[in-house]
Amino acid sequence: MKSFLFRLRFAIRNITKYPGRSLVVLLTLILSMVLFIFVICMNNVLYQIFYNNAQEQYINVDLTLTYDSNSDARILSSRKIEEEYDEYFNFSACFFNYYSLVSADETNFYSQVFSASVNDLENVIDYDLETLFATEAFITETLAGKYMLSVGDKITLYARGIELEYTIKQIVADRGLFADDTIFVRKKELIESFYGTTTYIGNIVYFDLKDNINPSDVISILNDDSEYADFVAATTVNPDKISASTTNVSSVYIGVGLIVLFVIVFVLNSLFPLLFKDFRQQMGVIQILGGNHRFSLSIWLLQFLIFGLLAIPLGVSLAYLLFSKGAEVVGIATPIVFQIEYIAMAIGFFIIFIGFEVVYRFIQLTRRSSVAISYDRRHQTTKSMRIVLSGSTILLIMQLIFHPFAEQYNALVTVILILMIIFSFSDFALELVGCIAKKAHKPSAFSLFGAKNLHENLTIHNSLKVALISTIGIAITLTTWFFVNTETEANASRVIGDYILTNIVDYDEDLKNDITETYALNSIDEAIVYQSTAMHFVYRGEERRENISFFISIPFGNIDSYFDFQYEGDVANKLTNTDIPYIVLPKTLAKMNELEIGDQVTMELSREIPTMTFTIAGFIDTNFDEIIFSNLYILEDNATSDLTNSLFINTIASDETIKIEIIKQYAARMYYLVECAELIAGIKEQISEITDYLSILILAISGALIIIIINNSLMVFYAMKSDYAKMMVLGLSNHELMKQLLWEVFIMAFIVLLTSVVGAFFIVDNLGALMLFGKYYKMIEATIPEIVGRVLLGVIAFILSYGIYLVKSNSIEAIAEIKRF
Amino acid sequence: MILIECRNMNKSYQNGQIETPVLKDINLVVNDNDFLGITGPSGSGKTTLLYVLSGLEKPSDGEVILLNQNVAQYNNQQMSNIRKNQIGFIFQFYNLIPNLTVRENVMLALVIAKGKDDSRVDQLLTMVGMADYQNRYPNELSGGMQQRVAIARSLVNDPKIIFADEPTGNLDTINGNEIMNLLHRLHDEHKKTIVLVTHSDDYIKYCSRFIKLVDGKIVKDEVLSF
Repeated sequence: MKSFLFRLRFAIRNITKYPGRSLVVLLTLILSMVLFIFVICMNNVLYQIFYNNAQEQYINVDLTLTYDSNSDARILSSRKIEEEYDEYFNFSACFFNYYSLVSADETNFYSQVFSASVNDLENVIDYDLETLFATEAFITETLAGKYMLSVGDKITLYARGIELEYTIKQIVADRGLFADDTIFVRKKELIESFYGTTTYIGNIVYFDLKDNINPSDVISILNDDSEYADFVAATTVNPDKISASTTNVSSVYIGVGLIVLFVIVFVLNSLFPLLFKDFRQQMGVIQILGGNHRFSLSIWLLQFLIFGLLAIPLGVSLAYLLFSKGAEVVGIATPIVFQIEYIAMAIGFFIIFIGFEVVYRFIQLTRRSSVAISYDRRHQTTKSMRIVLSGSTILLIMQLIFHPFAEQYNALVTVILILMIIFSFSDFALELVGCIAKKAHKPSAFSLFGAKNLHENLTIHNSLKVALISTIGIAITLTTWFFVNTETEANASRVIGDYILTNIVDYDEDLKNDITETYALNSIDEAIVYQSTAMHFVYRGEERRENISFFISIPFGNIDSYFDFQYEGDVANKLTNTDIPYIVLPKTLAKMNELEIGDQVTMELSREIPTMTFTIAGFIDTNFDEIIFSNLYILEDNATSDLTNSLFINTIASDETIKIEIIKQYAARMYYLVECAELIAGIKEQISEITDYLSILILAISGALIIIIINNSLMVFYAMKSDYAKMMVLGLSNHELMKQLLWEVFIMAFIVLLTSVVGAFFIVDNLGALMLFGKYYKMIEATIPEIVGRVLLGVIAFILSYGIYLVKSNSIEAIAEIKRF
Repeated sequence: MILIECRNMNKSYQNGQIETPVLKDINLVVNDNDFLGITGPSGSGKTTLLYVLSGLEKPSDGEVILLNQNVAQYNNQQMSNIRKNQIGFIFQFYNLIPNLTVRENVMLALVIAKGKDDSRVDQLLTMVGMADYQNRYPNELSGGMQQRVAIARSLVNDPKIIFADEPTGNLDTINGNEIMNLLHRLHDEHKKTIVLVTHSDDYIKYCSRFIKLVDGKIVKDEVLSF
């Protein structure tokens, strides 16, 4: 026990004797822990947010039954549900929902209209409401705020040529499904005014299942019932779907995660030469005094245990703070919880890595004589990396020519090789500078000392690598952030059509003619649009299914009026072929699933076309992987005729009147007018919360990397302090020392700039392919000026960190420093 | 009693392809209670001889019998035990741990040997005149004071033999004489066997016997009276 306490005191003394240096080490460990947790826990945190959002939206509603947008049926009767199936639910609520043009005072807008009984709405949103009469309405707080509506105001709903006036009875705080721009009225009177009949009619039923009831069983029962065969029953919160969405989102950050892991490895690795200088001497003395290796190692491990006991909880707490405060800032209400297994994994990796480094370096020392290491106060020197440089360059060239592996593995190998090249090149560059400077005609402090350090001091070389990888990390992080924030708009700019009138179950050419005659249009085209379809294909020998949001078939010659895409493959010919069914996929979708031109896929389209086989004609160069084009519209096969269910419309001038009039005319037939610009804005708003949250996390990572660069420079200072002191004792002035350090920092900054730009360029080019590890793909691009700009941020941080270095160098107490060592 | 015996001992260092002989054909005996001085010009192999005699380095050739056993036959654990309990070291540059206080530096040797008697630390610090400085750090002491701490540390486990490598090399004359007097007391009063390396003929007079090395060979082996 006495021995243990002594060793513990020894370890504590090693930490407290140099508080500045120990703080730098501790900060490094904390930041490494934070980054580790970011990488390991991000996917799970996103899953919690998505899951919670889905749960918050539906509250107690477990299941919905509604019309299939790809079938003709629109209205269902809930009588049978209430009479025969009520044993399965706590409640079922039959709603009639549609989108309506609304006017209030002089303002017109488009809003979702819910209609049911008040009791049904109370059940669905789990909230008590006031009584509601036939001419009264509830509205959401969002809608009220947007259009400055108050209780008592009048609003008018339009449908099927009918105007229905309501008085606002209550403004309800957004809750569950009753959120955003939504109005609630009584269904009985609404349906009577539309259809002249009521009772059990609606277009969606919400269910709260009893606790012991399995949703899949209820779905099967409803699917087997012929009355509901044309409708779709689905769970409201689907963990598998949420998991898939989460994986897609976090896959975008695989490249960032990979670089961050490299940063952690290098940063932790760079700690040890700094700390080992002291430990070498201690170990030598202990051995001379008869102590065995276990004695020395235990002091070392205790020291890191103390660091770990501080760094791990602080790192976990800081990471938690960033995750939870970040969520709070963007308005995400989900309470963030770290799953214990992920934290254990992060801590486990951390401990294993540190433990490995300690033991490995310790074993290296045991090979040397105790007397030698007791006196050895030299810096560790580097080994030549020329073989690594030439070897990895050759391998990279071969890799780029032959691409021997699957795409994601090619990308990973390329990234690893490029990092090896730039690391070994940076070593080589420093050695070269050192050699050139040493041969200067007029010897100077720089040529004799500074250059030698640049040439062979392992601490300096490690510092450069940390600055390098952190700078690349900043560039990759910011590139990914920029991509995420601009992707939706970039996709939006490709959709150039004005409107799509869709959901037309009873299409007749008269509709097109009527609209053409009534409004001033640039173009109007019939189309087939199926939503929420599925694509089946073979992926590496196994059947696979991919959900497709929009299956669109429009005469190819007219596509360019509505979509500004570039195509790869013989798309023009094939999409005008009237015999063979073809489809054109987004390139990202094809990459994710290793699909090529000529491959065959089977599409689940609608009730009329449950399955149909298509051949891939080509690809669309877009990151929007939710859309497929086809020549279905022009196929001569009888089975596929008369499928038109949409009209694509371009107006002559942006004229709100057309939109209002069409909505007035057709909304109650449940034709849905999509204004393309608003659709994209709506998508952007839906994902804005997550995008903003991820932006905060990404910027936190960039901030951590900048702190790491600064911190690392301070570590180098502590390693070099004694050498500077010795030179000052020999007569080197502060001015001359500053000059020497400035030479060092600019040489190193130049090497960091050059190698980081090259490294970042190659890595950005492979970011999309790296996402394939998460079975996802997006094309991320950045121009050279953009990469240089992002790299400069890291380089500037590096130069500024040396500012702190210079200030501290100015205040070295030379004699005290020499005595210490 | 013979504590250390060298028989036809040679020691050379390998640096890449080059082998540098440092000690040649050394035959030497160190008896119990000897105060042996090793002297000679710089580069003659004095320190190397000290390290080989103490078992810190192994000979390239020949035999070194330390405490009745051939050094080549000691394993690492046995050598550690000898250093803990039978041998003390004093170096020219003190080799104190900068992060430990005076007291802790001496205590370190006691803890390594699993000694239980803490009062021994106090006794030794008093003996070397450093009791009042026990809470100071090495960088707060003069050279002479640091060397006295190193001597106290070397004695804490009551070793049979003390090896001292130029203990006065970093000190002025007054401090150097103080250290030598201390070592002489250890030899005379505490019956310690001391093997001392020095380049100064002035300090040889403290020894009971000295050898002179030139180019790795013993050229003189004389008994002295103090």
